[in-house]
Amino acid sequence: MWQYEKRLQYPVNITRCDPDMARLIISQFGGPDGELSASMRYLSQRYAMPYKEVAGLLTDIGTEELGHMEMICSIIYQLTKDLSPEEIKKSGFDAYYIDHTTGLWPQAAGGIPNNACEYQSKGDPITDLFEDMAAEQKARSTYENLLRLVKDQEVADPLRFLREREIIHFQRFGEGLRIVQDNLNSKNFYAFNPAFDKNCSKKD
Amino acid sequence: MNQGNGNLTRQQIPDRCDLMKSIYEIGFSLDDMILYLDTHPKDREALDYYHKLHKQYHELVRLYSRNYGPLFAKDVHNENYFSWVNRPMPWEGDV
Repeated sequence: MWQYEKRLQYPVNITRCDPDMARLIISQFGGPDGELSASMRYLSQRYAMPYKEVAGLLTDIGTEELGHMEMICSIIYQLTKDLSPEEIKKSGFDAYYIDHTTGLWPQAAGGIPNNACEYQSKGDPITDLFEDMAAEQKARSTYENLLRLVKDQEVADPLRFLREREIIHFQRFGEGLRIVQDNLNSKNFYAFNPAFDKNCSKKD
Repeated sequence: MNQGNGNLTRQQIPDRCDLMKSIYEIGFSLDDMILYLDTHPKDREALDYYHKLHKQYHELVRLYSRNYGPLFAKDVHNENYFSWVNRPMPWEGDV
């Protein structure tokens, strides 16, 4: 089960509204490489992970991603607080506002709704970990794309923190992949799927 | 604000923002160590550091909850009001 801790993982204190930027940052909430997809991907994959260290890692990174989703939502919430209809019209936030007012809804910057197709859970430890490492790199690229456009340091600061976490997660998933491979036949990692084929692993 | 913190006088209670800053810092170190330990569960030095952080973290959270309200729904001490629902919520950017 999960327990909520009533604080963010890293502080978000934004004093200037910027609905136009919120419209772009929302991609890290509901977009293809956003935090919601990251969390659901890892938390879905862990059941098929036969190695305890890596099942633990998927659980803990999947949980941290929920905290990152909360940080992104906090950024969007603070960037769109107390907007007037005129500001909404002028900023390009108007199309989002029509369907959601200033409520939070997981979509990509281009308006595409969050899609479970991005969760990618294959039931094969090697496949899933390569997916996860790629996902962390894609999220890093997305944060870098955002950081090239963000001028407000109050917005950039938490985004930089989140970008750095993508690099750490990539590193840890790489170690997870190493643990999986250490448990397999080094002459042929693909001889069988340790999450499915019975009595094949070195340590069964 | 003091909700009966036994051995602390009012002067000794850290400022809410200072306390939350320490919680952010120690909490983050703990988050990072947990991921490292997942893939290095036998690293004795890392494990010692984890235990040190763990102790500091729980002390800070205890101090914060007693004085400024609970961080966990299972840690409400107020007997007159369920203070878990009190603002600010984390996304409001108060600290």
